[in-house]
Amino acid sequence: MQKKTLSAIVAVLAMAVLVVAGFYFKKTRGTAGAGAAVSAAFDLTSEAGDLPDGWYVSSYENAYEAFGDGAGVLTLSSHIADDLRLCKKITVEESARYVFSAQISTEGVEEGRGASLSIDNYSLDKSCVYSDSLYGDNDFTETNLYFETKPGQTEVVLALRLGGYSEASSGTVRFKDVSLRSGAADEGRYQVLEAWGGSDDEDEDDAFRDEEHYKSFFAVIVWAAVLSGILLIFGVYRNRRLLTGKTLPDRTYWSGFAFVVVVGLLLRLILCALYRGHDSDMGCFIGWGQDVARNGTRQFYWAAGHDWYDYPPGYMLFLGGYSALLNLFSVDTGAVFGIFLYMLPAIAADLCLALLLMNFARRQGINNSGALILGGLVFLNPALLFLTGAWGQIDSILTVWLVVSFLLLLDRKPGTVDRNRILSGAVFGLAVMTKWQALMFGPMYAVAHLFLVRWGEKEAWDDVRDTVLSALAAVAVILLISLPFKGDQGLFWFVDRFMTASAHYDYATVEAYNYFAFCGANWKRAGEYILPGLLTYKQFGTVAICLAILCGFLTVLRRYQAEKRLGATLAGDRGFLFLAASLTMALIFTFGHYMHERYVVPILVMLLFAYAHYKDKRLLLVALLFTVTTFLNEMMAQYVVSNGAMDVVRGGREHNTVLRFWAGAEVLVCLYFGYVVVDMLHDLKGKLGLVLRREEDASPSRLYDFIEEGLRK
Amino acid sequence: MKENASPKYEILSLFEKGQSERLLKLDKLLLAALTLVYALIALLNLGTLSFPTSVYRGETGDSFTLDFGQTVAVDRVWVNSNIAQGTLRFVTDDGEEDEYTQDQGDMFKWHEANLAFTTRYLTVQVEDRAVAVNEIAFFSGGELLPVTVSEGDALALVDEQNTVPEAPSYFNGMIFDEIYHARTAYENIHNLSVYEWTHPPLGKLIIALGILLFGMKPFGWRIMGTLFGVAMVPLMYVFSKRIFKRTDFAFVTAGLWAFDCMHFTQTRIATIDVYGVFFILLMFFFMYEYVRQDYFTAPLKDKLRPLALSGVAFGLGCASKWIGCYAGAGLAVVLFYHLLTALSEAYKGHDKGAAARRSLFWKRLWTTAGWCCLWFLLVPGVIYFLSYFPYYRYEASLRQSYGLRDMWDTLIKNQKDMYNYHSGLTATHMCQSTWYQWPFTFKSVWFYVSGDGERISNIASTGNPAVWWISAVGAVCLFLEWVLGKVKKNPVHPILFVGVAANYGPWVLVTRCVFLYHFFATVPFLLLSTVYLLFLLEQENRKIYWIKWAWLSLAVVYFILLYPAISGLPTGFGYAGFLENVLPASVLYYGWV
Repeated sequence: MQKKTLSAIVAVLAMAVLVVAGFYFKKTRGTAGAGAAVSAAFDLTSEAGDLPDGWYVSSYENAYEAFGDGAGVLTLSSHIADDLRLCKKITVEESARYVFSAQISTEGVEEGRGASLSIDNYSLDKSCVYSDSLYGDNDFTETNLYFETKPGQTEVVLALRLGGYSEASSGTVRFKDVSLRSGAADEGRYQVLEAWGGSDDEDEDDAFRDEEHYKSFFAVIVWAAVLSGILLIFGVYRNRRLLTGKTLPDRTYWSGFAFVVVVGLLLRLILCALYRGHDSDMGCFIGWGQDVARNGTRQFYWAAGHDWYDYPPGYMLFLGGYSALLNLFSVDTGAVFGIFLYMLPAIAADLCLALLLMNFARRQGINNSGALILGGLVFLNPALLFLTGAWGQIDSILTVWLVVSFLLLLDRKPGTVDRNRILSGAVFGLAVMTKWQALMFGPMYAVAHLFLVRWGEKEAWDDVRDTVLSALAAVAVILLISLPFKGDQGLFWFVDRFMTASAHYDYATVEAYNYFAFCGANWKRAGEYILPGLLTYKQFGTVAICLAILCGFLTVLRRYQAEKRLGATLAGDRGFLFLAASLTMALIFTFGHYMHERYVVPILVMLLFAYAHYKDKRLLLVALLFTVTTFLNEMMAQYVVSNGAMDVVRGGREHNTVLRFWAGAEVLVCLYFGYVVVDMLHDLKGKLGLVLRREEDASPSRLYDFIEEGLRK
Repeated sequence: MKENASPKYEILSLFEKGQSERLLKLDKLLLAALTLVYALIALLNLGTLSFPTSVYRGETGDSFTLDFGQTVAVDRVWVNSNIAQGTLRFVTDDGEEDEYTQDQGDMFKWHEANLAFTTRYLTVQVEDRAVAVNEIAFFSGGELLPVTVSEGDALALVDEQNTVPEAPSYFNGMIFDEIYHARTAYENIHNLSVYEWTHPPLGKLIIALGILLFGMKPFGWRIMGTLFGVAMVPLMYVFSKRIFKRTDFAFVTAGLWAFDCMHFTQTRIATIDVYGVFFILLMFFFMYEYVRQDYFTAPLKDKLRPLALSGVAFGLGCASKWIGCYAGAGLAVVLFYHLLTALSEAYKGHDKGAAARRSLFWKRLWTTAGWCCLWFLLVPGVIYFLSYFPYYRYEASLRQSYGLRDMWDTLIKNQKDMYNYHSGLTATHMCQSTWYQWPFTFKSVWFYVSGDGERISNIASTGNPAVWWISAVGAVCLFLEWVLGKVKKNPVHPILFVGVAANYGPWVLVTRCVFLYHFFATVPFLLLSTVYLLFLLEQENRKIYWIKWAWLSLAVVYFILLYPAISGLPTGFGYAGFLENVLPASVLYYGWV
């Protein structure tokens, strides 16, 4: 019984398989036959006045007549010149030869391409071929079109045609006995269905499309910057309570930070895979590192062809050791991961900055959630993400040294010798040896030392001594690091190298979106006039830099006076140096000459430190606004020199529009920052502040409230 | 209380009094004032009413002679063409010959023909095919020459010399795509074969209405679009009053829309986008009227009325431009979202009331579904079918018998042609742009530019940066708020977000070359979203009440600054340079002169 059942099931299954197979083969044969079916005459019969099934009309002017007589003759007629087609789409074999034939008669056909048979594949793959044409009046004449399909070409549009593309014709044409068959090799001259590309128009169209494509990326860059701005500014605004009100338990705080780090690393890895670093900068870092690793430090600056090596020796020394380490593991420097490893030091610096800020913020009384947000604003900061992930620059490393140096300077260690201040000098030396830009912070550094001296007190000499020791430490570090690279040169060989480096870019601005860029001076020589015959960019910039330093000095002075009024010293204020340095650097970047787009990067972080101390939300806003302008500036600077965009879009109207608008925005942000600092200081002084104060603006975050409180006490 | 007592909140309290979705006396006053002001600005220099209307039509072989009264040196000839493509041969007394061939792009405008000769009599022959000319003007040393004609029919060529302007400009001739749309409106009136068949006919029929009222003159072919543009202002006011129930927000929204540059430019040209956008706005307005009423408690009659009106607007929109269909898909999403929300509400809870709600839900659902079939399928279908009346009339005039079946075939054929045209279009255009360039007005669409060495006149279709840029940012912010669940549920959310998605989304996928004005229909929804965000923020913090006024003021300032570039008002080269190179805005094409 069971066997019978089993046999029945097997029989049914076998039948089912056979039936399915039968259908399958039938279907396959049907499909295979689709191409073959066209190798025959077409049935053109239809009801009189109508067109046969599957045929449709395409016209440019749309003032035509098209109909069949019911007995296999099709008529096309237009009294005005037109590209009039009676079309049918069919399936064909790829890489095959065909003969498309018809009997054609004409009546008053004039101009253009005349009456012809055509394959009108323009809408499919931009190919189009015609048979010989007929003009005037003709009885039915046999016309053949020999064509050959290309690999992958399985569809063609057969066209019975009056006129052609840009070759419009008028008159009446009749077609009959239309057929398509496979052609023999020696039967006729076969036209291959190539895409039209030979004509000038097509080339121009393609060139135009490419250009538009490149130009349209400016919009993508603007979108990226705007969206980042929305996320940052609106996001922080909507979550402002987390900055001060709510808080997080320690465990959540650290797991939150781990999340930030993982996301930040992933984003940087993706950016690295997408961009593979800045074309020349990344190539330099890898090349220099390998050079030092292989040939040592002595020859690095002095070998033939190395006279343009303009980075200070500090990072070169590190790169040499780092490259040697990577070489031990045979890292492929051309692969994404290899490039990422060369970006890793700067990424680690980003992480350090985030940790330093979070630690600083918590010590300044900011709660866990606020500190975490600030950490996120550093490690997920779009400007830093792009710089370390997509570009591969090392401004973050410079920023770490500067911040550490500032923190050490502000963190006085009681004792006969202030070790922290000396260490701070040494770290500043490291900063100078990492990037020459550190020197721009030198004046602020000097001013800070000046005001940290407790004038009129007997310990003042201790301060002077510590300052001298600090300066000596900086010089010692610089000498120590530069020594291995000295070669046969003098001890201060690097001074000359620094001068050469600064002369390399003798331009008003080098892709830095600042006031000069707003004036249209991007890549203009610094010696050109900003005011014709009166003032060059360099002179303007020099005056501006001096004024910027003066502003920094005044900022520190005001803070010093305010603290003194309270009976305290400036040493108790952990924010003044960040505030003054940010202001000075922002003003130098905005109004100075020789600026590159990245010089503003340290202040993005320093402003957050200043915010963490003063808790004035406007500082946070300024930091975020600078982040947006810097992010866009970096993307634009990177884009216009790479990806083939350089020749097409650089200096064009779109480039200039974006550049000038955002340069204008940067100037406005800088001016707003200036206003914020002045307002803070005036409030601090307690004069203008009282006049300007609005009741609803009362907030414990304002500096003057601390002062008021202090005065009341 | 303290804040309300403060003088700076007085204006705010004035607007907050008697919050209502209906138009109060103050609303009516403000709405009338705003509409009137905008109407005056929009009608100013719209187009001339002094334009030749009598036509000379000649066939190959026709000939006539013009007489200048004395031998004159003609150094400039302007031809105002009608619809034809033929060649005229001019023969002077000395037997010198010259030719002028009519071109499709030169119709209904004063086109300068490249002709110069000295003669008293000028023999004019139709050399090739047929010609149709409204008027010819001959000049010598800048003076218009009096001329008479021997042939009776040819009188039309020189019978309206008083319409010859001082200089050809946008004011007295067709610009940009008017040569398609306004020409086709004229063809529709005169039962000619239509020239523009790549869009459905309703828009051109509305243009034709203006031509019927004012004649085939620039003012005539532009007026209907302008009036629709004016009508958008109260529509926007009422729409936002319904959403915000606040006079100040309604006024600001309508004001921002009124002073948007693209709204201004795109409605002052005889193309069809204005109708598509107007009906899209209208269909979403009525859909909002439907969804804002509670599914269960609102009287069914009150709910179904706006739904029907939305369907009619949908039909009119589709029959004007296919963008109406995209918007219609959006309407369907809004409707389904509303029904799904009601469904989830109906199945909440297990009490007695819940059972009643469930039964009511299904009862109302079937009524609504049937109603939608009627108003969103049948009625729009009929509107669409009827809008092809000019096609039917023309086809019928060519054949002996033409029935309903033929009408259907005509309709279907045009749908296929339209689809093939739009899907197969591979051409490039110097003004084309990409969808992600639009919100920040990277590239405007050039309509017209002309200069005489001292002054320059320009019309560029572009967005008001103060409206577009801020709206783009604001809409993203609102969307973020919504995604993060920071805003309270409101039936307006799907209207705003779907409005943006349905009108903007399709252009992301379209492969043919596209233009900034394809973004026109999206802007009102971005604008409403941003005003809505501001409304929410102001509710949290009343101190920011001034922002909306500052925004409106900025938009008005921008509109005034850009006015010459968007209206064709001639301006000096210095100011043109300022607009083109200094003021942050899109490319304005002043550089072309």
